[in-house]
Amino acid sequence: MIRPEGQIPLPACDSRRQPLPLRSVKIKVFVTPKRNVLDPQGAAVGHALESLGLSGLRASRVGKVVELDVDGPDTPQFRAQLDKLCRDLLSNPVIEDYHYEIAGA
Amino acid sequence: MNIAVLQFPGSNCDQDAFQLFASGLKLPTRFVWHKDTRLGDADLVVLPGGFAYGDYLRCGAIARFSPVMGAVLEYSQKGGLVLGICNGFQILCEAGLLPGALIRNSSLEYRCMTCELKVEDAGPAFNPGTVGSRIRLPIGHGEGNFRIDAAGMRGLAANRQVILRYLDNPNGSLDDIAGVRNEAGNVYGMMPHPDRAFERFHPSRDGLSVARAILAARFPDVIREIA
Repeated sequence: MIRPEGQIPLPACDSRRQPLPLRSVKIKVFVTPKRNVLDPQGAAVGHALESLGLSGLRASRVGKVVELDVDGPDTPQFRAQLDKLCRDLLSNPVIEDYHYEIAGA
Repeated sequence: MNIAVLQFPGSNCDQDAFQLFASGLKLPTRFVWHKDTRLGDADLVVLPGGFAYGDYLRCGAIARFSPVMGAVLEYSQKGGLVLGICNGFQILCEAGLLPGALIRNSSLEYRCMTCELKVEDAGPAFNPGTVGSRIRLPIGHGEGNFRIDAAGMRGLAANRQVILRYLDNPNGSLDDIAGVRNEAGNVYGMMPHPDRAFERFHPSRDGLSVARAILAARFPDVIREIA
């Protein structure tokens, strides 16, 4: 089989299988109560930490972490979709902020 | 008259809400399963209390994306009447049909008790004249602490959107807010349970006047007949 010079030969592939994704990404979404929203849970945890001897505690807020493994490349379109999902489902923008970390697999 | 009571996986006050309208007010009432994408003819859609989808992520966060909620959104945009009780209120806030959000009670405790409530004059449908100026309704919730930003609070006041306030705040809600309506006046939400206040053995029968008030402006003849 003749190939143009320099092109890397494609790996053998079984057409009955789904093609392997180019890449996958690991995402950690952090959802926290907004700074100006009361956080009763964070306050209770703070009191417990103080009763266990922690001094100088200025603030304690409790949020949640959502871990996602997603097949596919990290593209601007994917980030836009992820932001929309964070706003619509994973956080409630009325009371919570979010941010995420993305690591390539 | 046709009342539709939605059922989500985890709803547990659907039967109570059904009985409030079917037995308490003697109105034709039916259930609509959350997977239905159509509501059919409905004059009032009720989102009952419970723990839809286990309250996972946040109360109401997942229920809001149930297939039936697309139909509820369309129905409410056409001016259809919607009432959310307890978890139903949380779902309506998550769906953006009502302003604000409900977070963990400031005490961190689940509160199950009967509350004294002040009825605010929130327009022709829901006012002390139709409901009574002080009523008693049971509550049962861990996340009933109503929160909204300063601009949102000004909007609630300017449009008279607060329908009920606690006399003795059980959950830390801003300004003792127990229930609100949307600006257009067709979507109502409250943490207290009118569906646990209509039988003789209930702590009060004020749930009947709340249910009547929500229907009164739209269907005065029906309400006059059953009064």
